[in-house]
Amino acid sequence: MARVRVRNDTGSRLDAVRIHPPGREQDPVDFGPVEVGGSSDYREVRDVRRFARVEVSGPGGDRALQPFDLVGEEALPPGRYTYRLGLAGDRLTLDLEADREADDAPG
Amino acid sequence: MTGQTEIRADLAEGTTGDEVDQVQGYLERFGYLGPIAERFAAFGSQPFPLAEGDDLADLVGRPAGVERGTFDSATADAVRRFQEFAGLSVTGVVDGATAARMNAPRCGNPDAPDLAEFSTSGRKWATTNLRYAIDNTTPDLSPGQVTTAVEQAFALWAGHTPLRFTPVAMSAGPEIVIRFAAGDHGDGSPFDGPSGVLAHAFFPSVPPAPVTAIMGDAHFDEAETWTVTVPPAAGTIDLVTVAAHEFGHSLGLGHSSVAGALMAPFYGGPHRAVEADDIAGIQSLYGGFPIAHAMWTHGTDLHVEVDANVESIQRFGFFTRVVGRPNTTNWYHFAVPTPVIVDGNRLAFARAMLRLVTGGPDAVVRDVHVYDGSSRIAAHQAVNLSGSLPFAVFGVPHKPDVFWGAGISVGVRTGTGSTAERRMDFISAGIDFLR
Repeated sequence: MARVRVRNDTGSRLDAVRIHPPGREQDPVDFGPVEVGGSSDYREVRDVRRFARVEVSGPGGDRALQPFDLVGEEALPPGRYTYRLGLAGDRLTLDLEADREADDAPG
Repeated sequence: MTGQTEIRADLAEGTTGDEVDQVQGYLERFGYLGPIAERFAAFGSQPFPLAEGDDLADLVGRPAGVERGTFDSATADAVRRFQEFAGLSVTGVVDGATAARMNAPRCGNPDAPDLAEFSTSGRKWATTNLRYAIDNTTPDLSPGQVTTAVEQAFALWAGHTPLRFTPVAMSAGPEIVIRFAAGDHGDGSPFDGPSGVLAHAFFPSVPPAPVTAIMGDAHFDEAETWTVTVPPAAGTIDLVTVAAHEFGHSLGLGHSSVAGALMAPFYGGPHRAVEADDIAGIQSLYGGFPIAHAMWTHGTDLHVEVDANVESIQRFGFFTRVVGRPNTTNWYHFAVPTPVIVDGNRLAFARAMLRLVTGGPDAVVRDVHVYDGSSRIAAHQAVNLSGSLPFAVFGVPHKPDVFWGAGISVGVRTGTGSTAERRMDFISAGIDFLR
Protein backbone atom coordinates (compact mmCIF):
# COMPACT_ATOMS: atom_id res chain seq x y z
CA MET A 1 0.00 0.00 0.00
CA ALA A 2 1.26 3.51 -0.84
CA ARG A 3 0.22 6.92 0.35
CA VAL A 4 -0.33 9.66 -2.16
CA ARG A 5 -1.10 13.37 -1.95
CA VAL A 6 -1.52 16.19 -4.45
CA ARG A 7 0.44 19.45 -4.55
CA ASN A 8 -1.12 22.40 -6.34
CA ASP A 9 1.47 24.33 -8.37
CA THR A 10 -1.06 25.56 -10.92
CA GLY A 11 -1.20 29.07 -9.47
CA SER A 12 -4.95 28.84 -8.90
CA ARG A 13 -7.02 27.31 -6.15
CA LEU A 14 -8.39 23.94 -7.18
CA ASP A 15 -11.90 23.27 -5.95
CA ALA A 16 -11.61 19.55 -6.51
CA VAL A 17 -8.94 17.06 -7.55
CA ARG A 18 -9.69 13.44 -8.43
CA ILE A 19 -7.13 10.84 -9.49
CA HIS A 20 -7.85 7.45 -11.03
CA PRO A 21 -5.09 4.99 -10.11
CA PRO A 22 -5.06 1.55 -11.76
CA GLY A 23 -7.98 -0.53 -10.55
CA ARG A 24 -9.98 2.55 -9.55
CA GLU A 25 -10.74 3.99 -12.97
CA GLN A 26 -14.44 4.18 -12.17
CA ASP A 27 -13.89 4.99 -8.49
CA PRO A 28 -11.42 7.89 -8.33
CA VAL A 29 -9.56 8.96 -5.23
CA ASP A 30 -10.94 12.34 -4.15
CA PHE A 31 -8.34 14.77 -2.80
CA GLY A 32 -10.85 17.59 -2.25
CA PRO A 33 -9.95 21.25 -2.69
CA VAL A 34 -6.25 22.17 -2.73
CA GLU A 35 -5.04 25.72 -2.11
CA VAL A 36 -2.42 27.44 -4.27
CA GLY A 37 1.01 26.11 -3.36
CA GLY A 38 -0.54 23.74 -0.86
CA SER A 39 -0.81 19.99 -0.61
CA SER A 40 -3.71 17.73 0.14
CA ASP A 41 -3.72 15.14 2.86
CA TYR A 42 -2.29 11.74 1.98
CA ARG A 43 -4.68 9.06 0.78
CA GLU A 44 -3.98 5.34 0.73
CA VAL A 45 -3.73 3.82 -2.73
CA ARG A 46 -3.07 0.19 -3.59
CA ASP A 47 -1.22 0.79 -6.87
CA VAL A 48 0.75 3.93 -7.77
CA ARG A 49 2.24 4.60 -11.20
CA ARG A 50 3.93 7.66 -12.64
CA PHE A 51 0.76 8.57 -14.51
CA ALA A 52 -2.97 8.41 -13.89
CA ARG A 53 -6.09 10.07 -15.16
CA VAL A 54 -6.51 13.36 -13.28
CA GLU A 55 -9.58 15.57 -13.13
CA VAL A 56 -9.52 19.02 -11.58
CA SER A 57 -12.10 21.75 -11.11
CA GLY A 58 -10.81 25.29 -10.86
CA PRO A 59 -11.55 28.87 -11.83
CA GLY A 60 -11.18 28.08 -15.53
CA GLY A 61 -13.65 25.19 -15.34
CA ASP A 62 -12.97 21.47 -15.41
CA ARG A 63 -9.81 19.99 -16.90
CA ALA A 64 -8.56 16.44 -17.26
CA LEU A 65 -5.31 14.72 -18.05
CA GLN A 66 -5.95 11.52 -19.96
CA PRO A 67 -3.13 8.95 -20.17
CA PHE A 68 -2.89 6.93 -23.35
CA ASP A 69 -1.88 3.85 -21.39
CA LEU A 70 0.42 2.62 -18.66
CA VAL A 71 2.70 0.66 -20.96
CA GLY A 72 6.13 0.20 -19.41
CA GLU A 73 5.08 1.93 -16.20
CA GLU A 74 5.83 -0.33 -13.25
CA ALA A 75 3.90 -0.17 -9.97
CA LEU A 76 5.98 1.88 -7.56
CA PRO A 77 7.08 0.39 -4.23
CA PRO A 78 5.18 1.19 -1.05
CA GLY A 79 5.96 4.65 0.26
CA ARG A 80 4.75 8.21 0.13
CA TYR A 81 4.36 10.10 -3.11
CA THR A 82 3.24 13.52 -4.26
CA TYR A 83 1.51 14.16 -7.57
CA ARG A 84 2.53 17.71 -8.44
CA LEU A 85 -0.06 19.48 -10.58
CA GLY A 86 1.11 22.42 -12.66
CA LEU A 87 0.26 24.37 -15.77
CA ALA A 88 2.29 24.80 -18.97
CA GLY A 89 0.44 27.46 -20.90
CA ASP A 90 -3.16 26.38 -20.42
CA ARG A 91 -2.22 22.71 -20.31
CA LEU A 92 -2.38 20.80 -17.04
CA THR A 93 0.82 18.93 -16.14
CA LEU A 94 1.45 16.08 -13.72
CA ASP A 95 4.71 14.96 -12.12
CA LEU A 96 5.18 12.33 -9.46
CA GLU A 97 7.76 12.74 -6.72
CA ALA A 98 8.76 10.26 -4.04
CA ASP A 99 8.55 11.89 -0.61
CA ARG A 100 10.92 11.44 2.23
CA GLU A 101 9.17 9.93 5.24
CA ALA A 102 9.42 13.22 7.20
CA ASP A 103 7.87 15.34 4.42
CA ASP A 104 4.40 15.24 5.94
CA ALA A 105 5.53 15.68 9.52
CA PRO A 106 4.00 18.70 11.30
CA GLY A 107 6.09 21.84 11.42
CA MET B 1 31.97 31.39 -19.84
CA THR B 2 30.69 31.32 -23.35
CA GLY B 3 32.82 34.22 -24.41
CA GLN B 4 29.78 36.35 -25.22
CA THR B 5 28.50 39.60 -23.77
CA GLU B 6 26.58 39.11 -20.53
CA ILE B 7 22.91 38.29 -20.99
CA ARG B 8 20.52 40.83 -19.50
CA ALA B 9 17.48 39.92 -17.39
CA ASP B 10 13.86 41.05 -17.83
CA LEU B 11 13.40 39.97 -21.43
CA ALA B 12 9.99 38.62 -22.39
CA GLU B 13 7.93 37.88 -25.47
CA GLY B 14 7.57 41.02 -27.57
CA THR B 15 10.96 42.46 -26.61
CA THR B 16 13.26 43.35 -29.50
CA GLY B 17 16.88 44.34 -29.85
CA ASP B 18 20.43 43.17 -29.43
CA GLU B 19 19.76 41.75 -25.95
CA VAL B 20 17.25 39.36 -27.48
CA ASP B 21 19.72 38.42 -30.21
CA GLN B 22 22.20 37.64 -27.43
CA VAL B 23 19.74 35.26 -25.75
CA GLN B 24 18.88 33.62 -29.06
CA GLY B 25 22.57 33.12 -29.77
CA TYR B 26 22.96 31.36 -26.44
CA LEU B 27 19.89 29.19 -27.02
CA GLU B 28 21.07 28.27 -30.51
CA ARG B 29 24.57 27.45 -29.32
CA PHE B 30 23.36 25.08 -26.66
CA GLY B 31 20.75 23.30 -28.72
CA TYR B 32 17.49 24.89 -27.61
CA LEU B 33 16.78 26.84 -30.77
CA GLY B 34 17.35 26.53 -34.47
CA PRO B 35 17.48 22.83 -35.42
CA ILE B 36 15.81 23.46 -38.76
CA ALA B 37 18.32 26.12 -39.71
CA GLU B 38 21.14 23.78 -38.77
CA ARG B 39 19.65 20.91 -40.71
CA PHE B 40 19.40 22.85 -43.91
CA ALA B 41 22.77 24.47 -43.40
CA ALA B 42 24.16 20.95 -43.38
CA PHE B 43 22.78 20.46 -46.89
CA GLY B 44 24.37 23.69 -47.99
CA SER B 45 21.05 25.41 -48.52
CA GLN B 46 19.48 28.36 -46.85
CA PRO B 47 17.30 28.22 -43.79
CA PHE B 48 13.67 28.10 -44.83
CA PRO B 49 11.80 30.26 -45.63
CA LEU B 50 14.18 32.81 -47.07
CA ALA B 51 16.18 34.88 -44.65
CA GLU B 52 15.78 38.60 -44.18
CA GLY B 53 17.59 40.46 -46.93
CA ASP B 54 17.00 37.84 -49.57
CA ASP B 55 15.40 39.29 -52.64
CA LEU B 56 12.28 37.18 -52.47
CA ALA B 57 11.75 37.45 -48.73
CA ASP B 58 8.80 39.74 -49.12
CA LEU B 59 7.21 37.41 -51.62
CA VAL B 60 7.57 34.27 -49.57
CA GLY B 61 6.64 35.89 -46.27
CA ARG B 62 8.29 35.82 -42.90
CA PRO B 63 8.86 32.56 -41.10
CA ALA B 64 6.44 31.60 -38.39
CA GLY B 65 9.42 30.59 -36.29
CA VAL B 66 12.45 32.41 -35.00
CA GLU B 67 13.28 35.93 -36.09
CA ARG B 68 16.65 37.13 -34.81
CA GLY B 69 16.37 40.07 -32.45
CA THR B 70 12.67 39.54 -31.76
CA PHE B 71 11.55 37.65 -28.65
CA ASP B 72 8.86 35.64 -30.43
CA SER B 73 6.90 32.59 -29.29
CA ALA B 74 9.55 30.19 -30.60
CA THR B 75 12.15 31.98 -28.49
CA ALA B 76 9.87 31.83 -25.44
CA ASP B 77 9.44 28.08 -26.00
CA ALA B 78 13.19 27.66 -26.18
CA VAL B 79 13.62 29.64 -22.94
CA ARG B 80 11.08 27.33 -21.31
CA ARG B 81 13.03 24.28 -22.44
CA PHE B 82 16.22 25.78 -21.07
CA GLN B 83 14.51 26.58 -17.75
CA GLU B 84 13.10 23.08 -17.51
CA PHE B 85 16.49 21.55 -18.26
CA ALA B 86 18.18 23.87 -15.71
CA GLY B 87 15.61 23.20 -12.99
CA LEU B 88 14.39 26.81 -12.96
CA SER B 89 10.84 28.10 -12.80
CA VAL B 90 9.41 27.53 -16.27
CA THR B 91 8.09 30.93 -17.34
CA GLY B 92 9.43 31.57 -20.84
CA VAL B 93 10.76 34.89 -19.52
CA VAL B 94 14.46 35.64 -19.10
CA ASP B 95 14.23 36.67 -15.47
CA GLY B 96 17.11 37.23 -13.07
CA ALA B 97 17.61 33.55 -12.25
CA THR B 98 17.53 32.54 -15.90
CA ALA B 99 19.98 35.24 -16.96
CA ALA B 100 22.28 34.29 -14.09
CA ARG B 101 22.25 30.67 -15.18
CA MET B 102 22.94 31.62 -18.80
CA ASN B 103 25.81 33.81 -17.69
CA ALA B 104 27.30 31.14 -15.44
CA PRO B 105 30.48 29.33 -16.58
CA ARG B 106 29.68 26.10 -18.41
CA CYS B 107 31.09 23.76 -21.00
CA GLY B 108 30.55 24.57 -24.65
CA ASN B 109 28.69 21.40 -25.62
CA PRO B 110 25.02 21.62 -26.47
CA ASP B 111 22.57 20.40 -23.90
CA ALA B 112 20.24 17.74 -25.14
CA PRO B 113 16.82 18.82 -23.94
CA ASP B 114 15.13 17.29 -26.96
CA LEU B 115 17.43 14.43 -27.72
CA ALA B 116 17.50 12.27 -24.63
CA GLU B 117 13.97 12.53 -23.32
CA PHE B 118 12.60 9.49 -25.12
CA SER B 119 12.85 6.09 -23.48
CA THR B 120 13.02 2.65 -24.97
CA SER B 121 12.04 -0.76 -23.70
CA GLY B 122 15.40 -2.23 -24.63
CA ARG B 123 13.61 -4.41 -27.16
CA LYS B 124 13.40 -4.08 -30.92
CA TRP B 125 12.29 -6.26 -33.78
CA ALA B 126 14.96 -8.30 -35.51
CA THR B 127 13.38 -7.55 -38.89
CA THR B 128 12.47 -4.28 -40.55
CA ASN B 129 9.69 -5.93 -42.59
CA LEU B 130 6.85 -6.04 -40.11
CA ARG B 131 3.47 -7.59 -40.88
CA TYR B 132 0.27 -6.59 -39.18
CA ALA B 133 -3.33 -7.77 -39.11
CA ILE B 134 -6.49 -6.07 -37.94
CA ASP B 135 -8.25 -8.83 -36.01
CA ASN B 136 -11.47 -6.91 -35.53
CA THR B 137 -12.77 -3.37 -35.78
CA THR B 138 -14.95 -1.08 -33.71
CA PRO B 139 -18.63 -0.36 -34.35
CA ASP B 140 -17.77 3.31 -33.92
CA LEU B 141 -16.11 3.32 -37.37
CA SER B 142 -16.37 1.52 -40.67
CA PRO B 143 -13.75 -1.19 -41.31
CA GLY B 144 -12.33 1.02 -44.05
CA GLN B 145 -11.89 3.92 -41.65
CA VAL B 146 -10.06 1.68 -39.19
CA THR B 147 -7.79 0.36 -41.94
CA THR B 148 -6.94 3.86 -43.16
CA ALA B 149 -6.31 5.08 -39.60
CA VAL B 150 -3.96 2.17 -38.90
CA GLU B 151 -2.07 2.74 -42.15
CA GLN B 152 -1.69 6.44 -41.36
CA ALA B 153 -0.39 5.66 -37.88
CA PHE B 154 2.21 3.20 -39.22
CA ALA B 155 3.18 5.69 -41.93
CA LEU B 156 4.31 8.17 -39.28
CA TRP B 157 7.01 5.74 -38.14
CA ALA B 158 7.78 4.44 -41.63
CA GLY B 159 8.71 7.95 -42.77
CA HIS B 160 11.77 8.08 -40.53
CA THR B 161 13.01 4.48 -40.33
CA PRO B 162 13.78 1.49 -42.54
CA LEU B 163 10.59 -0.15 -41.20
CA ARG B 164 8.04 -1.39 -43.70
CA PHE B 165 4.51 -2.30 -42.52
CA THR B 166 2.53 -4.76 -44.59
CA PRO B 167 -1.06 -5.88 -43.93
CA VAL B 168 -1.56 -9.65 -43.91
CA ALA B 169 -4.24 -12.10 -42.84
CA MET B 170 -4.34 -13.28 -39.23
CA SER B 171 -3.49 -16.77 -40.50
CA ALA B 172 -0.14 -15.49 -41.74
CA GLY B 173 1.09 -15.04 -38.17
CA PRO B 174 1.75 -11.28 -38.19
CA GLU B 175 4.14 -9.67 -35.76
CA ILE B 176 1.59 -7.01 -34.81
CA VAL B 177 -2.08 -7.78 -34.21
CA ILE B 178 -4.56 -4.92 -33.78
CA ARG B 179 -7.65 -5.61 -31.75
CA PHE B 180 -10.53 -3.78 -30.12
CA ALA B 181 -11.60 -5.28 -26.80
CA ALA B 182 -13.46 -4.35 -23.63
CA GLY B 183 -12.88 -5.28 -20.02
CA ASP B 184 -10.96 -8.47 -19.35
CA HIS B 185 -9.82 -9.63 -22.77
CA GLY B 186 -7.43 -12.37 -21.78
CA ASP B 187 -4.03 -10.71 -21.80
CA GLY B 188 -3.75 -10.03 -18.07
CA SER B 189 -4.34 -6.29 -18.52
CA PRO B 190 -8.10 -5.76 -18.44
CA PHE B 191 -9.49 -2.53 -19.80
CA ASP B 192 -11.28 -0.22 -17.43
CA GLY B 193 -14.32 1.21 -19.17
CA PRO B 194 -14.46 4.75 -20.53
CA SER B 195 -11.46 6.99 -19.75
CA GLY B 196 -8.85 5.46 -17.41
CA VAL B 197 -6.53 4.23 -20.14
CA LEU B 198 -7.41 4.26 -23.82
CA ALA B 199 -5.35 1.37 -25.13
CA HIS B 200 -2.20 -0.63 -24.54
CA ALA B 201 0.46 -2.35 -26.56
CA PHE B 202 3.18 -4.89 -25.96
CA PHE B 203 6.86 -4.32 -26.59
CA PRO B 204 8.54 -6.29 -29.41
CA SER B 205 9.22 -9.95 -29.34
CA VAL B 206 12.74 -11.02 -28.51
CA PRO B 207 14.04 -14.17 -30.18
CA PRO B 208 13.58 -17.05 -29.58
CA ALA B 209 10.01 -16.10 -28.65
CA PRO B 210 7.73 -16.75 -31.62
CA VAL B 211 6.74 -13.63 -33.49
CA THR B 212 3.14 -14.78 -33.26
CA ALA B 213 3.17 -14.21 -29.48
CA ILE B 214 1.30 -11.28 -28.00
CA MET B 215 4.42 -9.15 -28.12
CA GLY B 216 3.99 -6.23 -30.49
CA ASP B 217 0.19 -6.39 -30.40
CA ALA B 218 -1.89 -3.26 -29.85
CA HIS B 219 -5.27 -3.35 -28.12
CA PHE B 220 -7.81 -0.52 -28.07
CA ASP B 221 -10.46 -0.16 -25.37
CA GLU B 222 -13.84 -0.71 -27.00
CA ALA B 223 -15.46 1.21 -24.13
CA GLU B 224 -14.05 4.43 -25.64
CA THR B 225 -15.84 6.13 -28.50
CA TRP B 226 -13.39 6.15 -31.39
CA THR B 227 -13.36 8.67 -34.20
CA VAL B 228 -11.26 9.71 -37.19
CA THR B 229 -13.01 13.07 -37.52
CA VAL B 230 -10.97 16.18 -36.77
CA PRO B 231 -11.84 18.06 -34.68
CA PRO B 232 -13.37 15.19 -32.75
CA ALA B 233 -16.77 15.52 -31.13
CA ALA B 234 -16.77 15.87 -27.35
CA GLY B 235 -15.97 12.62 -25.61
CA THR B 236 -14.56 10.90 -28.69
CA ILE B 237 -10.96 9.78 -29.11
CA ASP B 238 -8.85 10.11 -32.25
CA LEU B 239 -7.89 6.62 -33.36
CA VAL B 240 -5.00 7.76 -35.57
CA THR B 241 -3.27 9.50 -32.67
CA VAL B 242 -3.75 6.68 -30.18
CA ALA B 243 -2.75 4.04 -32.73
CA ALA B 244 0.43 5.94 -33.61
CA HIS B 245 1.31 6.19 -29.91
CA GLU B 246 0.60 2.50 -29.30
CA PHE B 247 2.59 1.45 -32.36
CA GLY B 248 5.50 3.39 -30.86
CA HIS B 249 5.30 0.93 -27.96
CA SER B 250 4.88 -1.99 -30.38
CA LEU B 251 8.17 -0.94 -31.94
CA GLY B 252 9.97 -0.66 -28.60
CA LEU B 253 9.55 2.92 -27.41
CA GLY B 254 8.56 3.84 -23.88
CA HIS B 255 7.09 7.15 -22.79
CA SER B 256 8.85 10.43 -23.45
CA SER B 257 9.20 13.28 -20.97
CA VAL B 258 8.99 15.84 -23.79
CA ALA B 259 5.52 17.34 -23.45
CA GLY B 260 4.90 17.80 -27.18
CA ALA B 261 6.10 14.36 -28.25
CA LEU B 262 3.72 11.77 -29.63
CA MET B 263 5.18 9.35 -27.06
CA ALA B 264 4.43 11.69 -24.16
CA PRO B 265 2.14 9.84 -21.76
CA PHE B 266 -0.99 11.97 -22.03
CA TYR B 267 -3.52 12.16 -24.84
CA GLY B 268 -4.41 15.75 -25.66
CA GLY B 269 -6.53 15.38 -28.78
CA PRO B 270 -5.47 14.73 -32.38
CA HIS B 271 -1.69 14.70 -32.82
CA ARG B 272 -1.02 13.08 -36.16
CA ALA B 273 2.71 13.64 -36.34
CA VAL B 274 5.96 12.44 -34.85
CA GLU B 275 8.17 15.07 -33.28
CA ALA B 276 11.95 15.39 -33.09
CA ASP B 277 12.10 13.46 -29.84
CA ASP B 278 10.01 10.62 -31.28
CA ILE B 279 12.25 10.46 -34.34
CA ALA B 280 15.38 10.41 -32.18
CA GLY B 281 13.85 7.61 -30.15
CA ILE B 282 12.79 5.39 -33.02
CA GLN B 283 16.05 5.96 -34.90
CA SER B 284 17.99 4.95 -31.78
CA LEU B 285 16.37 1.53 -32.26
CA TYR B 286 16.21 1.12 -36.03
CA GLY B 287 18.35 3.89 -37.54
CA GLY B 288 17.39 5.91 -40.58
CA PHE B 289 17.12 4.43 -44.04
CA PRO B 290 19.57 4.56 -46.91
CA ILE B 291 18.05 6.70 -49.64
CA ALA B 292 18.78 5.19 -53.04
CA HIS B 293 17.35 8.08 -54.99
CA ALA B 294 15.51 11.33 -54.34
CA MET B 295 13.51 13.41 -56.79
CA TRP B 296 12.03 16.87 -56.30
CA THR B 297 9.87 19.12 -58.38
CA HIS B 298 9.52 22.87 -58.10
CA GLY B 299 6.37 24.48 -56.80
CA THR B 300 5.86 26.00 -60.23
CA ASP B 301 4.81 22.53 -61.46
CA LEU B 302 1.66 22.68 -59.35
CA HIS B 303 -1.65 21.56 -60.86
CA VAL B 304 -4.93 22.91 -59.51
CA GLU B 305 -7.92 20.59 -59.31
CA VAL B 306 -10.77 23.12 -59.01
CA ASP B 307 -9.90 26.38 -60.75
CA ALA B 308 -13.17 27.98 -59.58
CA ASN B 309 -12.02 27.80 -55.95
CA VAL B 310 -8.86 29.80 -56.64
CA GLU B 311 -8.99 33.56 -56.20
CA SER B 312 -5.54 34.14 -57.66
CA ILE B 313 -2.51 32.15 -58.73
CA GLN B 314 0.97 33.52 -59.45
CA ARG B 315 4.07 31.63 -60.48
CA PHE B 316 7.41 33.05 -59.33
CA GLY B 317 10.90 31.74 -59.99
CA PHE B 318 10.63 28.55 -58.00
CA PHE B 319 7.27 28.59 -56.29
CA THR B 320 3.59 29.09 -56.86
CA ARG B 321 1.46 31.37 -54.71
CA VAL B 322 -2.21 30.44 -54.57
CA VAL B 323 -4.92 32.36 -52.77
CA GLY B 324 -7.99 30.22 -52.25
CA ARG B 325 -11.47 31.64 -52.30
CA PRO B 326 -12.97 32.04 -48.81
CA ASN B 327 -14.56 28.97 -47.26
CA THR B 328 -13.50 26.54 -49.94
CA THR B 329 -11.48 23.39 -50.25
CA ASN B 330 -9.23 22.36 -53.10
CA TRP B 331 -6.66 19.81 -54.16
CA TYR B 332 -3.24 20.70 -55.52
CA HIS B 333 -1.26 18.02 -57.33
CA PHE B 334 2.41 17.43 -58.03
CA ALA B 335 3.70 14.85 -60.48
CA VAL B 336 7.18 14.01 -59.25
CA PRO B 337 9.66 12.71 -61.87
CA THR B 338 10.11 9.05 -60.99
CA PRO B 339 13.08 6.80 -61.67
CA VAL B 340 11.33 3.43 -61.80
CA ILE B 341 14.42 1.34 -62.42
CA VAL B 342 17.97 2.43 -61.58
CA ASP B 343 21.05 0.33 -62.39
CA GLY B 344 18.77 -2.60 -63.15
CA ASN B 345 17.00 -2.40 -59.81
CA ARG B 346 13.37 -1.45 -59.30
CA LEU B 347 13.10 1.29 -56.67
CA ALA B 348 10.57 1.43 -53.84
CA PHE B 349 8.77 4.40 -52.32
CA ALA B 350 10.00 5.54 -48.93
CA ARG B 351 8.29 8.84 -48.22
CA ALA B 352 7.00 12.09 -49.66
CA MET B 353 8.14 15.56 -48.64
CA LEU B 354 6.67 19.01 -49.02
CA ARG B 355 8.09 22.48 -48.56
CA LEU B 356 5.48 25.20 -48.32
CA VAL B 357 4.30 28.23 -46.39
CA THR B 358 0.71 29.15 -45.65
CA GLY B 359 -0.68 32.45 -44.46
CA GLY B 360 -1.79 30.85 -41.21
CA PRO B 361 -4.81 28.97 -39.92
CA ASP B 362 -6.96 30.30 -42.76
CA ALA B 363 -4.92 28.24 -45.23
CA VAL B 364 -4.57 24.73 -43.85
CA VAL B 365 -3.08 21.62 -45.43
CA ARG B 366 -5.74 19.18 -44.42
CA ASP B 367 -4.78 15.98 -46.25
CA VAL B 368 -1.72 14.70 -48.11
CA HIS B 369 -2.03 11.67 -50.37
CA VAL B 370 0.79 9.86 -52.14
CA TYR B 371 0.20 7.96 -55.39
CA ASP B 372 1.98 5.51 -57.64
CA GLY B 373 0.16 6.09 -60.90
CA SER B 374 -3.50 5.78 -59.98
CA SER B 375 -2.87 3.72 -56.80
CA ARG B 376 -2.97 5.60 -53.53
CA ILE B 377 -0.10 4.27 -51.40
CA ALA B 378 -0.36 6.63 -48.42
CA ALA B 379 -3.13 8.80 -47.01
CA HIS B 380 -2.31 11.32 -44.32
CA GLN B 381 -5.76 12.60 -43.39
CA ALA B 382 -6.64 15.65 -41.28
CA VAL B 383 -3.04 16.56 -40.57
CA ASN B 384 -4.05 20.24 -40.37
CA LEU B 385 -0.71 21.93 -41.03
CA SER B 386 -0.26 25.65 -41.48
CA GLY B 387 2.45 28.29 -41.25
CA SER B 388 6.00 27.52 -42.29
CA LEU B 389 6.55 23.89 -43.29
CA PRO B 390 10.22 23.71 -44.21
CA PHE B 391 10.40 19.93 -44.51
CA ALA B 392 7.15 18.11 -43.88
CA VAL B 393 7.53 14.33 -44.17
CA PHE B 394 4.74 11.93 -45.12
CA GLY B 395 5.69 8.29 -44.78
CA VAL B 396 4.50 5.46 -46.98
CA PRO B 397 3.64 2.53 -44.70
CA HIS B 398 4.19 -0.42 -47.07
CA LYS B 399 7.05 1.16 -49.07
CA PRO B 400 5.88 -0.59 -52.24
CA ASP B 401 7.89 -1.02 -55.41
CA VAL B 402 7.59 1.77 -57.97
CA PHE B 403 5.62 0.92 -61.09
CA TRP B 404 4.16 4.00 -62.71
CA GLY B 405 5.20 7.34 -61.29
CA ALA B 406 4.87 9.34 -58.10
CA GLY B 407 2.16 11.85 -57.41
CA ILE B 408 1.54 13.96 -54.33
CA SER B 409 -1.89 15.49 -53.75
CA VAL B 410 -2.36 18.20 -51.16
CA GLY B 411 -5.84 18.91 -49.85
CA VAL B 412 -6.27 22.46 -48.61
CA ARG B 413 -9.02 24.18 -46.66
CA THR B 414 -9.29 27.95 -46.92
CA GLY B 415 -11.01 30.06 -44.27
CA THR B 416 -12.40 33.55 -44.33
CA GLY B 417 -9.28 35.58 -43.50
CA SER B 418 -7.58 38.25 -45.57
CA THR B 419 -5.89 37.55 -48.88
CA ALA B 420 -2.54 37.25 -47.10
CA GLU B 421 -4.01 34.82 -44.60
CA ARG B 422 -5.51 32.63 -47.33
CA ARG B 423 -2.33 32.32 -49.36
CA MET B 424 -0.31 29.15 -49.90
CA ASP B 425 3.25 29.28 -51.22
CA PHE B 426 4.11 25.88 -52.68
CA ILE B 427 7.93 25.71 -52.83
CA SER B 428 8.65 22.12 -53.78
CA ALA B 429 7.55 18.51 -53.46
CA GLY B 430 9.72 15.42 -53.44
CA ILE B 431 9.97 11.68 -52.97
CA ASP B 432 12.70 9.56 -51.37
CA PHE B 433 13.19 6.12 -52.89
CA LEU B 434 14.72 2.92 -51.59
CA ARG B 435 16.51 0.26 -53.55
